Amino acid sequence: MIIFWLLGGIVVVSVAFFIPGTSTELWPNINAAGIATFLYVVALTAYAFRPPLPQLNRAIGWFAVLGTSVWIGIGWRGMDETTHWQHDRLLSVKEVITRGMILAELPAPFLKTLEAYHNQQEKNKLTIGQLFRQQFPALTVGGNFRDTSFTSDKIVFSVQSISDHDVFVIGFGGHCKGREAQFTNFNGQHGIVQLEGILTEKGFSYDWQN
Amino acid sequence: MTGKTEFSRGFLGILSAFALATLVMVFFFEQSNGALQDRFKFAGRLFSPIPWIHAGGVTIANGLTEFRGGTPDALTLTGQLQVLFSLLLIFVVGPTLFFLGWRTYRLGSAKTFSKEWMLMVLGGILSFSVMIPAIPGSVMQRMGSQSMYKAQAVQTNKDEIVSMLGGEIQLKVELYRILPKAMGGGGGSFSGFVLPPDLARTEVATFTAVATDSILTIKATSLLYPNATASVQFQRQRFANWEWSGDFE
Repeated sequence: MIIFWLLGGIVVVSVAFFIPGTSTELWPNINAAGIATFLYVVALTAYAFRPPLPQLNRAIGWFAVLGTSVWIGIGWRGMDETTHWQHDRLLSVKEVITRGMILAELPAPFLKTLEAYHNQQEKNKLTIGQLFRQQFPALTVGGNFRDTSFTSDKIVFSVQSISDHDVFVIGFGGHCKGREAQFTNFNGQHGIVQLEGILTEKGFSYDWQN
Repeated sequence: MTGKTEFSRGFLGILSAFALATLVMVFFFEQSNGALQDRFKFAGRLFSPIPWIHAGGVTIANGLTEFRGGTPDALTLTGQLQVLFSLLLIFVVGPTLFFLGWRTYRLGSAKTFSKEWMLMVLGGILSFSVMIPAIPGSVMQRMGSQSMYKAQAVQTNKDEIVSMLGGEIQLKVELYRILPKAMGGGGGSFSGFVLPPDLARTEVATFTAVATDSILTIKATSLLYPNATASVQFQRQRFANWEWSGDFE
């Protein structure tokens, strides 16, 4: 009889395990298998603790099985919730860091340009565009002027246009997903964090496009 | 009342021995500083002691991969079989051998050290080795999660405030200092700087500014944790003297 129960349990739990298919997560598989396992253990308990075993034996057996199942269920569900929460936290922290890096780094050269512009003598005054080009003589429109020594750091600051009166820039979040997955980034990618900034003689303003 | 109508003293002794042996095994395994774990490395490839912890590990690993900018791979069949094997061993094979072996033994159709008795002992070891640590493990997991949620909530609030100070507020401050007075700026000074209403009170904190010519001090008071404050001084294009109080310390 033991062998029939073993085979039955192995087949039921294995089938349940593979029903959700293959993904990057184990949870769908082990949750399905967990439900099947619980049902199997309940059936097994009903069988193993049936008469002629005395009432007290049966009661203690059921109490132990159900009590342990509840505790395991609490730990199981808790781990499921906690690890998904941690996963989501990692991604939101990444977004906060990426936005923070863009906003902390990107305005600096523009503020330097702006300060130089307003500190000039009226005579032979250079334009915003000319002063910006002085900072990055080799930079072409569309080029990236952000300097990083980390290969995993894919944040890009791309100048979109330079005129006498304004400079347009895009801050692109590398591989950090933004709010909308469908958003089309300046380089044709989709769903990545992106900021658009503009420098004029009145200041530097920006807008988070995604 | 005969010995066969209640849990016999012998059976209770066996149960206690299982529990004690499991605790001793767990204790020595934990205390071995990796030596025993290394020996069991091969077994570890085949067996994951607590499947839901293994699944949690995969979820965290996926998060770290995405954090680094990668895309998590679909699980391999080997990885899935490893967890399935554990589930079957702990929750199917263990309880089946233990319950049915115990029943046979209890009803008197098997003797001590008989085949049924040996299967019952094996099933008991398999089941108890996970069931016993699982109960305190669940309690600790719950307590740990609650503590982590609270700590993270405080840290998130702190991060949001730092992000505001280092981002939007710093930009406003610098623009004010750079722009000439004729354009509403400070003409090279912080003096006269006032935070615009949308930055003076946000969803996460209230911010107040105290300015002198060369130094601007901004103090943030959390709206979620009112005793938690942060303050920082802006000097020309740089931060100085970060200070934290309350829950942010």
